[in-house]
Formats: sequence, C-alpha cells, structure tokens
Amino acid sequence: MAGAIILILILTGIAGVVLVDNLIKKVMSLVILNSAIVILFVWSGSLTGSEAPIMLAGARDIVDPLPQAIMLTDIVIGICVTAVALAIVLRIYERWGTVSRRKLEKLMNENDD
Amino acid sequence: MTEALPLLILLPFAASVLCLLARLLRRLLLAQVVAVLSLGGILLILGLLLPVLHSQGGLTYSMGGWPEPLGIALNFDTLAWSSSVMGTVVGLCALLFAIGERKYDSDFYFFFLLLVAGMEGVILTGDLFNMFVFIEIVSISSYILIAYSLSRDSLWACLRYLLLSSLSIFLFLLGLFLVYRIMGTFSLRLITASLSSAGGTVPPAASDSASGTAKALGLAVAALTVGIGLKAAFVPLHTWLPDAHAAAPHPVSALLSGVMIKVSFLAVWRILAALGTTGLQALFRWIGPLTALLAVGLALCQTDSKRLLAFHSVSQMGLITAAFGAAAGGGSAGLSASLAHILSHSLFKSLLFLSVGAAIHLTGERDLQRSSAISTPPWLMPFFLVGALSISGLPPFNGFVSKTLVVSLFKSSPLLATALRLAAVGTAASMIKLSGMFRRGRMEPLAADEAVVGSGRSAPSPFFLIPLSLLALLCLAGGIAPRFLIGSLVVSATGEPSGGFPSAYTAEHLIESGIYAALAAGVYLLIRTHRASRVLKRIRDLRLSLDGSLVLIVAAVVLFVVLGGILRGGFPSALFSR
Repeated sequence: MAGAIILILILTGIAGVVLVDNLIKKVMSLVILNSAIVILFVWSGSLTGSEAPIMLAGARDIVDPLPQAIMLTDIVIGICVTAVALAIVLRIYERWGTVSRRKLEKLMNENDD
Repeated sequence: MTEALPLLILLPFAASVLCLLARLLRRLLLAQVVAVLSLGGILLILGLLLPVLHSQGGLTYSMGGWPEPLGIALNFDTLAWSSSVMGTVVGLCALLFAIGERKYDSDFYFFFLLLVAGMEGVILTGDLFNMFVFIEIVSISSYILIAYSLSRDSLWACLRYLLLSSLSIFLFLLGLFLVYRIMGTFSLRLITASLSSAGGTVPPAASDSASGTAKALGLAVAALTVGIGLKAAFVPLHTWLPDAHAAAPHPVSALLSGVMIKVSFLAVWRILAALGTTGLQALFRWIGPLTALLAVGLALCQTDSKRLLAFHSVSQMGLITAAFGAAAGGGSAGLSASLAHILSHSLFKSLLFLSVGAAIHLTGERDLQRSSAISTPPWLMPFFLVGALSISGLPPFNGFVSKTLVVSLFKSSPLLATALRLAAVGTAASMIKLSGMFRRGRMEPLAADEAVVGSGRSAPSPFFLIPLSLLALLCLAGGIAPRFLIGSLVVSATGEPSGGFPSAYTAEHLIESGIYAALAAGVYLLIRTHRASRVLKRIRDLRLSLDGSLVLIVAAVVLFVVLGGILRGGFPSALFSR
C-alpha cells in the first residue's frame, strides 16, 4: 500500500515537472517529488520495527532512526530550494508577465533577433 | 593535524557569516577582506597538511568524535588535496577579480564563500548523504550567483538550471535510498570495505540472491551518477551549462567552469570507485569523445563570447570523462590523465573566462560580431593568448601536456581518437574566432562608462593583473615542468608508479599539435565564408526547450541502465519486501 502511494507520487511528480507548462506548477511538482522521497525513506525505516525510536529504558522493536533523521535535513533543504525557485519565478513574472514556459521561450527567441 | 580538516569547510562558512555582518554594518571592505583572508587561510592549512599527507598517505577525521557507522567521516587524500588547492587558487583569483570589478555588494561575497565551503565539503566528505547536503549548498549558492545580475538571460538560465538540477537531485536521493537498503550505511569507506571483503560485487546483506542485490546496486549507481553527473555536464546532461555559465557574473563563471563541474565529477569518480560498477565507467569511454565533439561543434557556431567559452567547458569535460572511462577495468594511466586534465583545465578555463570577462568589463561588448570593431586594452592580449594556446593543446602550456596524455590513451581505437582529434582542431579554430575580440579595432569603446574605460586605457587595475598573471604563470609552469607540478600530484593521487607519467614532448606529439593549428586556421577561414555563417546561425538557433532537457535527464538514467547492462535478466523486486 505504502509502496503504491510512493510510486504514484513519484510518477505524478515527474510527469508534472516534465509535462506541465506552468512554471509554478513545475516547482510544485518538485515539492511532490521531494515529499515522495521523504515518505520512501521513512517507510523503508519502518520495515525494521514498529515502535518509535525514542531510547527510553525498555524500548524494543524500534524502527530504523537514521532515515527519519536524514529526512529532517532533506525537508529543510527542500524548503530552501523551493523558496529560491519561487523567488526566481516571481522575478520572471514581474519582468514578462507570464509563467508559461512556452510563451517565455518564444519571447526569448524573438528578443534574440 | 587531523583536527584541521573540518577547518577547511568551517573557515569559509564562518567568513560567509561575517559577510552578512558586513552587510548589516554596511562595510563592503570588511566582506572583501574577510573573503580573501579565509581563502588564504585554506591555502595555508592545505600547505601545512601536505607533509602530513606525504608521511601518512591519507587522513580520516570523524566529526564530533563519533566513529564511522554513527558519525560522519571526512576523508583526505592526495586527490582531495590537489582538487582543494585547485579550487582555492581559482577561487582566490576569481575573488580578486570580483573586487576589481567593483560591482558586487556583501551578499555576493556571502554566496561566493558559501559556494567555496560547499565545494570543499563535496571534496572532503566520506559519506554519501553528507555529499548530498554539500551538493545542495553548492547548488543553492550557485543559483543565486548565476541570477545575481537579475538580467533577462540570467533569470531564465537560473530557473532552467534549478529545475534540471532539482530533478537530478531527486534521482540522487533515489540512489541513496537504494544504497541504504542494500548496504545499510552511507559511508563510502565502509561500503568499499564490505564490498571487497565479500569478494567482488556481492554485498554481505544479500538476503535472497546475490545477483539481485548486485543489480539493485547497479541501479543505485546509475541513479547516483546521473544525479551528480548533471552538474559535471557530460552529454546528454550538458543542456543547462552554456546558458548558466554565460549568464553568470564573470568571476562566478570562472569558478563554476573552472572548479564546480570538476568537483561534481570527482564526486562521480568517488562513487564509482567505492561502489565499483565497471560497466558504467566503461560507458564514459564513449560519452567522453561524443561530448567533446558535439560541444566543440556547437561552440564554433556561437557569437556570444561567454557562451562560446561555456560550450568549451562541456567539451573539455568530454576529454576528462573519456580518460576516466578509459581507466575502466583497471589501469591507472586513464585516471592520471583525467586528473591531469582536470587540473590544467581549471587553470586555463578560469584564465580565459577572466580575460574575456575583463575585456567585456572594459569595453561593454560581449558579442563577437560587434566587439571585433572595438579596441580592447592591449595588455589583455597576452593573458588571453596563454589561455587560448593552452586550451588548444599547443606547447609549451599545460593543456598540451594533459591533452596529449588523454589522446594517447585511445591508441587502440582509431574512431574515438579521431573524434578527440577533431575536437582539438575545432577548439583551436573557435579560439581563433574568439581572439577577434582582442584585436585592435577601429573604434574606441563607446558603450562602457567613462570612468571604467579611462582606467582601462591608463594603468590596468592590480585586481585584474594579479589573478590573470598568476593563472597564466601556472599554465606556463604546468607546461614546462609537467613532471614536477602535475606529475607528482597525479602519481600520488592515482597510485601510478612515478615512471608512469610519460613525457608529452616527443617529436610526434609536437608535429601533431602543429597539424592541429594548421587545420584550425583552415576551419576558421571556412566558417567565415558567407554560406557557412548562415548554416552556423541556423544551428545556433536550434535551442532545446526546457521540457526537452528535463526529458533528457530521465532518458539518461534509462540509457545508463540499459547500456551499462545492469538489469539483464529481470528487476530485483526482493528489495522492496520486508
């Protein structure tokens, strides 16, 4: 079940990044991909046990804590990249008044000549 | 002395924080001084570490005192030392140039130092997840530096690079997941140890079948290679580089082209060395010459000076990856040729970017069709000439030595050797085209503002002269005394016996480079004709759309998996069960 959800998220994300015309939606698809990675790692950690990895006395059958720990870092990095991406898209919108990839590339090529 | 290792990363980090403080206090000078001092400090530490390295062979430092499966290790060997020195020297030159340009505020120095810190981290780290973190530090600071001017081209180039790079980093994380599933650790050293103790490619945690895990490991390496390989910019992952490196401010272009792409390639190198999939490494034998030839062809078509240079960065990466691929399946000659070309390319490419950058800064014109009419200050010409001769592989400069090493690896396959030779001819021809920028023109510069041009005509600023002369001298020194300078480093980094670094100065190689130069002049005359220039314009206008390059990344993974022969005989589905 978890595997299927992760697969759907990954496919949605890749399709969104590659196929969608709107730049904001492309950035959103990247966020979806990143979430898929987070779920993937946390899920793989959960395969080794069933209890939260809080090391109190008597803790037993805990999940692998490392994937959870590194995913915290990944979430932070993901937020930074998203923030930069949205800032750039905003600048682009202010300059050209569009966030459509197709229109932007057309404008670029026209200005070159 | 081992305790000094984290300082290599922490020093630029701390300095970048001081730059933020300088921004608050509105003291630009503070940021500049701090930046120069921190890079000087790194060079000092590296100098002190050299004798230790010679006596011990390699150093390992565990962060926070935790040993390796729990903590993160920094590994320091000659490969790390030489690439760190290369990065810092080029970084210092670019920094002085940036100070001389007087266009940047404290923010710029903040991101510049962050970029240097990230690259040091990628070089030093011995942990795959840590590598991802440092790669992202490098990425985020380079996005912002590329878009620094907020011009039309730079914004679009930045977003393009950001989307491509984020998609590839997603692949890298998928690869990390597979590695962790199979090996149970991110430490490169422990992975190598457990792979070799199990006698080859069979990991110890092989639960069901050994071949299934080997396949999964192959998948992981393919994902990791494409994930970081995007930044190393070999075909078909090169599509972002010409735009991004052309749109960046000049010192940033020098740093990105000179160091950043090589550091990413060294990460690929380390991953392939630790996880050992020779099928993938052998692929680079073909990717390399293809990259070199394709990018040179496109470079010849460009009229924008910095775009032309950026395409050459791709083509020189082709030479580097070709040599790396030739080393697949044992033999260190390929590795040492690859490292030698990494070191010399970083010197001459940053020299070229800085001298072209200085010309653009002083004349205000970057288009080759227009700039040939404008006079450039004559003192720039010698610096450009050193870089141009070096990248064209002519003696007595370092490019000649390392390019000869790379081409001589391909004696047994005439097809690939011909591709590399054609690329060399094209490189020289496009350098002749680029030199039009530095010829004496009819007009004095009009576009630039008076103060800047005035300073260019009188005495050149020392902030331009010092970095340019330093890089030019190093290029010359690398060509005159290759054994002493490049040879000793390369030999100790790749473990080749000291007799193995061959001399490039044989009659055969000298004649060969003479023929290249003559052919290049012919090619240059050919592309100047009216009919050819129309064809070139048509090729120049063929631009791959953003979506096209995104698809190429996905295609690259599939290509690597199929051509690397990883999935022969079914998918390792056992990986996803409990």
